[in-house]
Amino acid sequence: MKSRSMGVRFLSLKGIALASMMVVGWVAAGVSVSAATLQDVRARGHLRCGVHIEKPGFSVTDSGGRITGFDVDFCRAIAAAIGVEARFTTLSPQQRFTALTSGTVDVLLMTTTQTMGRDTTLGVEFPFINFYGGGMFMVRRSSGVRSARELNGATICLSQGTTADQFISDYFRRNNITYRQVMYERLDDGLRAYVEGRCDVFTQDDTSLAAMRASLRDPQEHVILPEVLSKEPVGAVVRNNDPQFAAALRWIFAALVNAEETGVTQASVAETARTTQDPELQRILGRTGTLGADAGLPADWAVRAIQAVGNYGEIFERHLGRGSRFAMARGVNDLWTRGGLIYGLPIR
Amino acid sequence: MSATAERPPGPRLWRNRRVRLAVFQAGFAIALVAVAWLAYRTTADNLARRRIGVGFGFLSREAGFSLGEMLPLPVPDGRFGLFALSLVAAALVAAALKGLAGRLGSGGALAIGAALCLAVLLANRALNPGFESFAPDRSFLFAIATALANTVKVAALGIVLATVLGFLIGIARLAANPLVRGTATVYVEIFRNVPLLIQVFFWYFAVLRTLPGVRASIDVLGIAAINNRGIFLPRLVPGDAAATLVAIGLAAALLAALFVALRAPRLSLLRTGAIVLASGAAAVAGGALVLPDGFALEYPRLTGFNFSGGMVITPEYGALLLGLTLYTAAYIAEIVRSGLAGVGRGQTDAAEALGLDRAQTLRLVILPQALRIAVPPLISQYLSLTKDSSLGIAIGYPEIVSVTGQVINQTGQAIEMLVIALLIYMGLSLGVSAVLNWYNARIRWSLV
Repeated sequence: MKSRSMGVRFLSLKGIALASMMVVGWVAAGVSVSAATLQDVRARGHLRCGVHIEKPGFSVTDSGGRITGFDVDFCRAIAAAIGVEARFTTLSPQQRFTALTSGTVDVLLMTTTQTMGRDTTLGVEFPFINFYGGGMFMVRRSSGVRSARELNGATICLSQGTTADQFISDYFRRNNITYRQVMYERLDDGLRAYVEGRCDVFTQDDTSLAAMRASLRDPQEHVILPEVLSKEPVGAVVRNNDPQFAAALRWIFAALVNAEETGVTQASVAETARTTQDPELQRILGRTGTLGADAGLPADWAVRAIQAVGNYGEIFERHLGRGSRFAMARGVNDLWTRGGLIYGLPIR
Repeated sequence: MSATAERPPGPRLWRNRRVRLAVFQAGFAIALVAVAWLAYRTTADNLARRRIGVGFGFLSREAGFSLGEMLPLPVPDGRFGLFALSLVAAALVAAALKGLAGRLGSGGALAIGAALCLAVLLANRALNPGFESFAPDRSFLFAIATALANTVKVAALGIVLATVLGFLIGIARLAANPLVRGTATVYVEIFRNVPLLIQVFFWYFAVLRTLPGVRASIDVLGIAAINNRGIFLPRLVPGDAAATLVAIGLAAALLAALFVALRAPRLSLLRTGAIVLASGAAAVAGGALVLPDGFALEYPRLTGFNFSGGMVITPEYGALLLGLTLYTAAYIAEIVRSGLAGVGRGQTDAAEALGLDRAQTLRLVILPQALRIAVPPLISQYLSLTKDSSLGIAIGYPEIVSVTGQVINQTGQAIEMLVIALLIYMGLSLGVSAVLNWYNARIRWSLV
């Protein structure tokens, strides 16, 4: 009767609406989510990746409409290794698991934390972790707060679709202090509310907190507290009905890390593949053996992936590290050989 | 079908209208059940194939998160069951008294009300049901119940305020004074033609959030504070003798109502109400002199990061309430105007001929008849307002849609939570329309 549905459609029920559509997808008998994703992707000619709508450093759309970012590059690497084009579907955090399990996308690359609950109840699998993050707090410098323990009675702004509501609740319960929260649907609204003084604290995974602080008008006015409140290992997510696809993704990621370990870069990979005398590199780059074919991939899968986006370190520096405005240090995301957690599984 | 056997040989069975209709109906019902069954089976199969857990078992798991606004809710333990029983008993007593009230007029009605409140209060004192707020160690079910309370909290007050405002503006739309009429018209045109979401955003981002920060709060006489985290007001804190005081007040109100019922049964509801209220208030005031530990005022104080103590109207709640109220009031004003316009001019003329003045004409002749026209469309407005409260998610108000999203994110149980949200909204809507349909039927009966 009234034209008030507009607002509802455009914002408030967005997540629920999409979830409903996907539920309809489940209900409709026609939808088939096959357990042979690699074949489907090749037949289709493109890989469908679910990525964040906007997460600085991880998935952003530039003025030319091109999606770039850390997560986006891993998707491009996977698509290149399979030998297809990558296509992107932007999803809200609330929509992602339903979008994946209903077959709307083939893989999620949207800083999804691997947790036991998600692993065992959602029908999904986490083939690799591409970033080790943690939940952190940001406060105004003028508040004088130096540690999260001093936050008793503080108001915290956060947004839906993250694990933040759980880790702050855990932290405050563990330390027996109280807080109030205001939870917004969108990340931007939460940050804006914090900036305008609605809250004393803004919380996010460090995957985006540093980037968001850098985007503020006066970054020096805000400090990120030292406490890491939660472990947030984030990476790719696939349906758990297709072990072959999950394995392919695990090893494509391993190839990108192995490339960094052995110094193979986007620029040098073609040359290395032709000339290398290292038996291990010969195996990885498809000169010898049948590892690619065994995984259901082309023989030169690793070359294609590295040529598309470079090795792990190159991807990191381009979007998060020195090549970006965030200038994030590698930290725990450095190679294991340099004291980090990024470890290339042996390709043999 | 024995009756048909005695009829003269008529049309064949399939030509019989009733038989045909019955067959169609049965066919439709069977098709409906079949579709529902198919949808259920397919969903269950698909979920099982994808190894997604189904069921409502997660509702009792620990939520592990907090919510922005948490009303204390009655916790269903043994004592709460007794309390609920006492409510039912009080309602039964009230129903039994209703026959008496028919003869006793407004005094009787208020007496029933006061007696009911007294009974509930005494039961509450005796049984002491636990009212507890949501906390992270509570279940997902408790979180959803708190979200429902938040939705009801904004929708119920919104309905009352929008109705009052809508009636005033609707009447003003037909006022003789062009200034009053013009203002009302501008109001309706502005608030009806801007999408509700934009209005809610306006109140939230452009008004309430631009208030000064906590350290620069606007101080109101040292008892209240206004800042961009809310309006902090003093709160009445019940002491040990509070229940006794309220009981004394209610008892006085009951006595006053009974007195009116017996001595002046024709006194209007308004006047009776004033007498009853005044008696109750006087009794409480008198009692407070004797019992010092009745009520105390708790003032909000700035401690650490925030104001604590007292009570707070958050900007999220305030903006949503303002948006819903002002928007819906514009529609209600139009409904009231159409109701008033729908009462024949002859009614006004007749009232004037009887010597009623303007106010009396409106109150006694026009409004009661206008209500009959206005109530059915009003019901839709109330339903819309209730459902529109879901816009709260956009400004961080933890209502049902917002908490549903939160629970889905934590548990991944999308289908179950959508079903729950659907049932809650359906229940709320059916509840609102049931109450108003009953009211509608009543005013029709009394006026026809």
